[in-house]
Amino acid sequence: MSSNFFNIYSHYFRNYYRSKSFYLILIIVALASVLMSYLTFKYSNRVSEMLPSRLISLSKVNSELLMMYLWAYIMSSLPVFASVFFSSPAISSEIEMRTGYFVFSQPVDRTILVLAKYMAAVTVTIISLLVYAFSEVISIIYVYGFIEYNQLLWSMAMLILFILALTAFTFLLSSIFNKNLYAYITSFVVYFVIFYAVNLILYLLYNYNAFFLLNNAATIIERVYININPTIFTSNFSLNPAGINDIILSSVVFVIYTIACLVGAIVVVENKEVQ
Amino acid sequence: MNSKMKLLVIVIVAAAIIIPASIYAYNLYLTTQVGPANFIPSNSTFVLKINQNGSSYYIFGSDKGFAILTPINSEIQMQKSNLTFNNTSIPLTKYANIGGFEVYQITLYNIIDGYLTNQSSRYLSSYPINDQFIQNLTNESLYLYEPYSNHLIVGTLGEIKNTIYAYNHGTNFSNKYKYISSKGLAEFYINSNNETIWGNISNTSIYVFVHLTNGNISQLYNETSYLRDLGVKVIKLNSSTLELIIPVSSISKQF
Repeated sequence: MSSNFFNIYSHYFRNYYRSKSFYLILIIVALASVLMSYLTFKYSNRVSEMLPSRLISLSKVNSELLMMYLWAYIMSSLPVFASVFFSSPAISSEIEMRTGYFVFSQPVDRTILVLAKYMAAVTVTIISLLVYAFSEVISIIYVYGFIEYNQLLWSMAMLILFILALTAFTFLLSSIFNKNLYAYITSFVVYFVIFYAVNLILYLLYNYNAFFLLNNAATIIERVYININPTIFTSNFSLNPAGINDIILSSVVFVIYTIACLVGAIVVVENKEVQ
Repeated sequence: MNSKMKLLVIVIVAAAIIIPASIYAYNLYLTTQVGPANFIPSNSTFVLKINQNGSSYYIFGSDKGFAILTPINSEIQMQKSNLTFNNTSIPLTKYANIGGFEVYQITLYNIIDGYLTNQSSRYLSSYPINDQFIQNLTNESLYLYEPYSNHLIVGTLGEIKNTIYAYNHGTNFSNKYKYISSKGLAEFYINSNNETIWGNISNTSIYVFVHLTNGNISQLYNETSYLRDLGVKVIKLNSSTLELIIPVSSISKQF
């Protein structure tokens, strides 16, 4: 079973990193890295201008944390594109391209197939984002002379959990649809429209922070530097990092999404008939 | 194992993880709403909450010292280089970044000096202070930081570090906040090795709950009739628990 898993994983991993999608994502990530590096070099001396005047006397550590917050803010959106590009067609393409006739008839457990493909998609998503993380570390160390490794490691750990959850989520949508385009569009619309709209409605109408939404939990990637939730309108402002309970809460939300969506995808694929 | 059975097992295992995880996440969410409980250390030996004009002030301490958590309002305001308290301006010195929080230092000298300057246009330096004790005292410092929007924590350095540790590591007062969550004039919580005492004070009465983890409280049985004579209502009394209500009128009678 494990050799089966590894063989399928290797096969799809190679497919992914040889695909045009991978290079497109690499270009997007590289572009984002260049833009953020430019911002870091040009804006590091003026980063306090972002803040209310009361907090203008900013220490070097906080100035650096604020800059890392900006890097992480962009970083938390990149996995959405990467994982949607890699994962949305993962199952639906097998139906649309009719490769499912061949793949699903192989003597391979469909659960193993889904899990191996899932892990391959997660791996290439993480690899594509390494460019961004590497650029961040280099730029921050060059400009500030040091880096807050503790917060950086928390942010990276949260990023990996987010990628696991988001990839599982897009796998579930991919397993529901028989056409790639529908899977792509639904993934983007659910994440960027439905989640954000529900978040706004619950917060503005009911003053409730929708911690259970994936986009809300993903803010922990930047909130480990400074605990400002960019998905919530508020005048509250302080430079403090998110506490351990916030980190655990987001981690639990990611784990729930990962398990629920993966199991959902497995159930759908196991019962799917290739027509 | 056939396909249906395998799926059933997968779904059951997933549900066994997801359902308790969801309940845990919801309970955790309730504790992550940033508020005073997140910054009061769980090992505080005393916590006093005072409710006044819709605002709550918290005084708490441990063997590390004491601290006060107060809202920033018209009486207390924090600017980038000074703290204004009742129109008295006290200069702030940046001390250090502790656990992600900018901590500032103020000396007692500056507090007293600012107060005297505000009160009578005189300066502390104009007072001939010969007493070494007073000189040493005025050299003592308090530390403060903004834990979350529009609030300040002021206290000794040890307790300030304690509050930041409590927030960053989750060892805070969230689980014990129920002890001081009523809306009377004040609530209190006292914890020592042997006993936990909590209660609240209203306009008409004082509610006290005493719980002993070791020892025996039952010797108070003989005193209950005396307490009742004083107007104290003993709700519960056994070997480890004493619960009573003291009417304010019974206290005023004694004086």
